Amino acid sequence: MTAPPPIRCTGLSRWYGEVQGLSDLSLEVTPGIVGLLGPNGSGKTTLMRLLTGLIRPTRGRVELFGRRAGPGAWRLFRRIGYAPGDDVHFELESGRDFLVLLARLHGESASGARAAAERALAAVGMTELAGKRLREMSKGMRQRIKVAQALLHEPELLLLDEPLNGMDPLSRRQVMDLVREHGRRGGTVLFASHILHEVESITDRVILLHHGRLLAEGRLAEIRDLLDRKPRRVTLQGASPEAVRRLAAAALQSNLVSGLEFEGEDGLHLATRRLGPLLDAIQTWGEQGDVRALTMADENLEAVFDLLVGGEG
Amino acid sequence: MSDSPRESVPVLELEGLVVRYGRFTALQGLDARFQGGSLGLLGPNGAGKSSLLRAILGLIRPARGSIRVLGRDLRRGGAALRRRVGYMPERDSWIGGVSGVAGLAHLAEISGLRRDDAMIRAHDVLHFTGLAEERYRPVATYSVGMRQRYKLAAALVHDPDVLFLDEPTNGMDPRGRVRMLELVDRVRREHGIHLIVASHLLPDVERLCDEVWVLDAGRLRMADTLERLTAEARGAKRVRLPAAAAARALAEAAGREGFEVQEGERAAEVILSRPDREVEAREVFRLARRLGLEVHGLKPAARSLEQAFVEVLEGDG
Amino acid sequence: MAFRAPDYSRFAGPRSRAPAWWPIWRMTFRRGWNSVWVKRFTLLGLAIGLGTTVLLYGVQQVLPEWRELLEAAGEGSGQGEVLRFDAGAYLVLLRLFLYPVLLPLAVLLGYDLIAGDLRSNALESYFCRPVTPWTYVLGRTGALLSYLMLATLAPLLWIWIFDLSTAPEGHFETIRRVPFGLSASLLLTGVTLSLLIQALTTLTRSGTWTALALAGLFLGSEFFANMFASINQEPDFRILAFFENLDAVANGFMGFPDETAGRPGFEACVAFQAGVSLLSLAYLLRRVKRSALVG
Repeated sequence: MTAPPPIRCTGLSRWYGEVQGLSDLSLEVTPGIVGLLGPNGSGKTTLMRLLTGLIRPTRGRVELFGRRAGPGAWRLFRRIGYAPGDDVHFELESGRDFLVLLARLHGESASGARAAAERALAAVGMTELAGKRLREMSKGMRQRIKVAQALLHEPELLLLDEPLNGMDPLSRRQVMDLVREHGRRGGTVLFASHILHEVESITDRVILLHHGRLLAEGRLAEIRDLLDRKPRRVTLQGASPEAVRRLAAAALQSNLVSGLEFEGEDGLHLATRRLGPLLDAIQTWGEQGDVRALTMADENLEAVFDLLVGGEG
Repeated sequence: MSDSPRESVPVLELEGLVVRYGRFTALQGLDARFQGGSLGLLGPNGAGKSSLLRAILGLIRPARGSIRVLGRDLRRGGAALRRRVGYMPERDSWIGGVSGVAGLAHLAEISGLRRDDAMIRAHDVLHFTGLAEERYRPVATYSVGMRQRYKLAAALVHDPDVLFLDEPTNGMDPRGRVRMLELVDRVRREHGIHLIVASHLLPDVERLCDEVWVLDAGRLRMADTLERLTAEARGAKRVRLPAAAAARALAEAAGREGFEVQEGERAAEVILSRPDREVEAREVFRLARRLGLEVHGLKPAARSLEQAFVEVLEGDG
Repeated sequence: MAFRAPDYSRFAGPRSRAPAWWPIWRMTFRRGWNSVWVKRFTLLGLAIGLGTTVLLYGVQQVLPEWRELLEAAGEGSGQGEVLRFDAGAYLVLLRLFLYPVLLPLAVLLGYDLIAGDLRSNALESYFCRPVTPWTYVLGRTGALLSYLMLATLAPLLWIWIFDLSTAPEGHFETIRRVPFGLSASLLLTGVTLSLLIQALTTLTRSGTWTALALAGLFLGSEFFANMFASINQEPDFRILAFFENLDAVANGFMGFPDETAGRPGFEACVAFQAGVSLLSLAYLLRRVKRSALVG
């Protein structure tokens, strides 16, 4: 029997009065890193709060590691680390004291708590700066303390809500490395972010929410393949002008392209509805040395996000 | 003012600029010159980016040194100078108690426009930033993205010659970000407004700026053009695969074949290079074929601004 | 599906060098008028002024010799008091404007403006333009003051002019000091209140807390004034008592200094209000500079 998945939601809904937070969400997250995406107000934070048991679902259920989650599921909390999106902390405390206090709340001994705090601080690169009071820290530093706080008890499941917001590029890199490392060791990370470029650099698995509903879930390339509304565009750069002409002729002969356009000396745009076979053909041409570069439009996360959420705003 | 030839006067010149808050020295002797176009200010938290912006705007008085904006000394031309610069602060900022458009017209008037001109401009820039429908509502009812665009409108309403942006896309969702960057980009490209941007989001800076200054601990660590910073790494190729697992498989096999392998910017990407020569497209396609992998992208690898940034800051301690 | 916005255009029109406090002044005025309760109290002030003149006019039409009749009635009552529509009547009217109009208006408008600017971080939008902390405070306080005067001094002077134009010869002598008294007393109190309230709001940063702090100040000042005065046996400590102070200033300027024992002296009260104004101004400038320039 396989182990139960870290996250399983069934028919999960949450309403705030008449305001819809999340509606009828069913999904399963297997170990690894998953990006949680969606425009502002799409229900990302509501989902995080439901998962951590901060709020109760109006309908449906959340299971973490096969156990029902919700307010008061204390045992589960030890296996989850949560970095909330909003700025909450004890203003007058130093970063280090704050973490030690939290570690003690997790049931550590005094010395164990100090060790855990130092470990978490080192992981986010705050060892030297943690003596400052939280109130006096910059936004980026407070963010790092927040992430450190989620790592304290070495949880299996990390829920990070916009963890990189306000961080400088070096700290971003550090936290992203940390997330990758957690994924590599078999942990699970749910990573909410607006910066698609960063999500894409740590994972190709995403959950996309929009207006409180699940819009798409899975691997980026698979999601893109499901969106077959318009032909895919592939751009080739030939090794030489002659090579470009050979490529164009071969493409036409292959019957795989629905459109073809030259650009400059060595550029060639192809439009296709049969991507797989075309890529295969291109690979063959490439092995013969005619192709110097290959790019595919709307393969990246931004394009997919736009295709899915697009059409409004 | 506007008849002086723009090219000859640098937009920004700093000479031995020192800024202190009490005993803390935020900027310790900056010497730099920005001729014009668009400039990105980068640096870790606390590097002095905001202090520099504030000093240039005259919000903090430098302890030593001088700042010349558009050829004028800040200390003498303060008020006149401020009519010609626009500032988009990081924190939300608006005039409460009145509609969005009335607050904007008010700010335009303060910056030296006549009353009727101010009202016309206020409507125009709100149209430009896509807030036409919300313009009669109080700004307090705007969403995060709208407030951000409203701040841009406020920075543009008096038609400045230099635009200062502090974290312009902070907190915006992906579509909002794209939209904001597009607006700023148009203003600088089509209307020749100089741009100075401080941001933690390197892709934003890559999108908007021609020139980059890296600050660290109150000093200027590097000033260079974006083009030179992100020049192609010699002969390396960026290979894109359908999924992260495929990328890992390719990386492993390539390592055995004597390639140097680096992580790409995306999880489904790898960067391959050879220590001795250029990587040929042909050999990558062959390798992929042998592994049964589909190639979704293959192109010469440029260095990202992030790599350049990290190298500058970690380079010589 | 690229986003197509209407285009940006450069501005080629004239640029003025007009001082920045003038738009701030106008905006402040407008914001006052936009707020419901401020509008109500303003209308109350104007209505009292208009109502009084309408009343006077009506009486004048029905009983042209009402002034003499009033005097006679006073004598007839046998209490030796003279009932006359003179400077004393204006003192009563002044009190009518001071407490139900000036005071609530100063509180409502004062904290709303400053607290609003702090909440929406408007100072950052102002100070990156040609605005200095001085211009800002000048524009705000000037507008606040002129608003208060519009709601109080203007209707009072209107009554005075009406009274003068309908009164018989010689009445002018009895009410000649009135315009000076009204202006001086309202201006001094207005300046003190608007600066004090603005300074308080920069400290509390919220309307509710300012209102509570003011209520505490009004009541507490009474208590401490009594305490100090009785401990030291020195009635001048009663200048601390807020309402007594306002009264004494109004009485003094109107030419009825209250010489009763145990009442604070007029000069001391004026000096005290001026002192409070200066301290508030200094504090206000400092806070505005700090919250805007270093953040």
